[in-house]
Amino acid sequence: MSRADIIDVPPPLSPDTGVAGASSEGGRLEGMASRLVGAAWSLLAGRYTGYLLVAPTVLFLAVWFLWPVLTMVHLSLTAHSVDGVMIEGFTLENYARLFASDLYFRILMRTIRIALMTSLFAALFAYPLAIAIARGGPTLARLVTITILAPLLVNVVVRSYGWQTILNKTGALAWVLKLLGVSNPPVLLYTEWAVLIACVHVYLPFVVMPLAGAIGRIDRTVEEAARVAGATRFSVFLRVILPLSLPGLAVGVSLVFSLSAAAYVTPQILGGNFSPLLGTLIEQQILTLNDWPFGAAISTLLIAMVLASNLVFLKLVSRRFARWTAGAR
Amino acid sequence: MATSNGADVCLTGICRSYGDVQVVRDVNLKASGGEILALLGPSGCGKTTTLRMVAGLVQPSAGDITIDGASVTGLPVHRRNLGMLFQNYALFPHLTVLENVAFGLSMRGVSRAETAERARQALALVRLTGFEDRMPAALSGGQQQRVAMARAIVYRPRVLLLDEPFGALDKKLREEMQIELRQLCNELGLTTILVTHDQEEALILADQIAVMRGGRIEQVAAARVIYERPVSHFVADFIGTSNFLPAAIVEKMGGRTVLKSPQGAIFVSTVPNDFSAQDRVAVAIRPESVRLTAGSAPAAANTLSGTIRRSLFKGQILSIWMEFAAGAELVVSVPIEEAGARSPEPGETWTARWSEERTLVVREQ
Repeated sequence: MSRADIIDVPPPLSPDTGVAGASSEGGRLEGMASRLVGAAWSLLAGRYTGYLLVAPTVLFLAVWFLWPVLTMVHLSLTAHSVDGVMIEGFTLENYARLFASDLYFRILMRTIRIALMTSLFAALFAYPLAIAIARGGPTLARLVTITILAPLLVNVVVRSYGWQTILNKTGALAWVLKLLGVSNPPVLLYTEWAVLIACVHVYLPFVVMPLAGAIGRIDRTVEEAARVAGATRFSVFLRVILPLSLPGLAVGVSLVFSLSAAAYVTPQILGGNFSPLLGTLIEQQILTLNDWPFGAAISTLLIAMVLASNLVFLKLVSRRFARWTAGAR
Repeated sequence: MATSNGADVCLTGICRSYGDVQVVRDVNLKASGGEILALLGPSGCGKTTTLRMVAGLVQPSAGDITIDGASVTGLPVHRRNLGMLFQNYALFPHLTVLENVAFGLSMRGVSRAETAERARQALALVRLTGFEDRMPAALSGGQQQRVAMARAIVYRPRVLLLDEPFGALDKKLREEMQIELRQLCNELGLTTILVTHDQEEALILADQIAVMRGGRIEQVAAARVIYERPVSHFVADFIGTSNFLPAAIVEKMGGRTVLKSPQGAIFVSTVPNDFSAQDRVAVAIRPESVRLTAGSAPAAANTLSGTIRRSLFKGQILSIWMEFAAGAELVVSVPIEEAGARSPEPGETWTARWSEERTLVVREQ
């Protein structure tokens, strides 16, 4: 590059100062000001692009989610009902009641149990499906994807009543079992099993999809290297695919755990009054018994529980995962 | 070549097609114990598919592969006892360097103590002692390549397979690794099959080179033979560079082949060939085989006079283009030391000569 090229910057503005009239002077200042604002704006926008992009969502969530949640927590701490009469003032009575009563505690444990079992079964079923999506041909992948997403297209009430007709005493399942020679087939309807089956059915895609993504990102040659080094297909799964797909599994399991812990319609229809979950309990307290503070306390506990378990779980996985990419350049 | 305990690998009539596309057609190859065989060819010539069939990652549509005389065609990948290096190294990102190397041993049920011991030895062999607890992502490309190498040799495989192993390394590091790999393979006496599109890499590493084209083997021979006596236009063009002069065989006698170009020039070759007067052939001349002298010369065998069109300085050599007939150019490489004070300038008339031993007769397509 020659010297002339280097110093070839736009000419300075000074030559026309004083020569031009006042109006043009004003126009020039205006132009400079707008340019200055523009520069400041682009500087700000450059630095805060990320914040600006998420601002609408954050605002929306603050107004329509965060504020109601805080109101709810506030309510659970400032009032409680004694014999149907609301008493104002700071109190931990609602929370004490939740843990003091054997009934409520059993419901809490059942909710956690069903959420964990749903996550576990969903994860077990998800692996073969996710591998089929990630590693099968395009036709198979599409077929599996559509099949597992299908339950989400059906309204939850319709879907639950569908399960009811399958699982009840004279339902399809009992009929098939009888045909197979089972003399006294178990009735699953209105048990935890019914809730579990329906939850796994509908929440399966939430673990399959992130898992398929994670498995798809595993380099095929890494699997091939393992096979050449002497690993059977099962060892390849255990030693390569399973550990490398953990981040996807963690996302999926978190989603399924959260969704099934907070499920309301499915347990209500399929679990009935014999095995209510926290969702049903909240509904009863708020809509039937009009005990809003206690309902708020249960809701707060549910949210805290789901949030805490997700944070712990994801933290564990991300710490493990960070090690694999440590010092990557 | 090492005296060796390496296995003999034999491919007989190997074919592979995907739908209607034949990727590998009737490949017959043999790598004897301890030998390094390179499959060389442009992308899409079927060399990688052939290697993957030896590994068992692809099943041949026809043909048989034997290792030490026993067929492995139906044997699953994990039971073939092979070592393989991949272009992208394919290390296990979630395992430490030591765990990566130990993988094959733990798959073979070797005891923990022995596994650690042998993995450390393999790491020492590739000069990576002290890196045991690093993660692969924290290593440079060359180091990752060495880990992959240690992982592949630690369980004493029967055959080592290399799929473009140095493709991702920069030139300098690549050359270092090539020499290191060659030493290691010779030390271990491992039969090695290497896939590459880089002719230089094949020449440096391989004892035998199989040049592939369109799924077929074009020529198999020792590295030096391939370079000095290519059988076809394709091989001569792919390995090194050549001038191709159309010519027809006029007569063959006593190891000498006499050819005549359409313009009437006579070429004489003493390089053995199997062609007869009916074959479509060409004369191939390496640029470095040609000697230039100033001025024109009377017509003679292996002599062409013409006008210098261009010359290009390439560092150690000077490349010169001489037009010896309308639209026909000969490329000549002149070492800088030999160019001297009087180097050919564009527009001048010069004469090119080459010896009968440097006149190659190759099959035309």
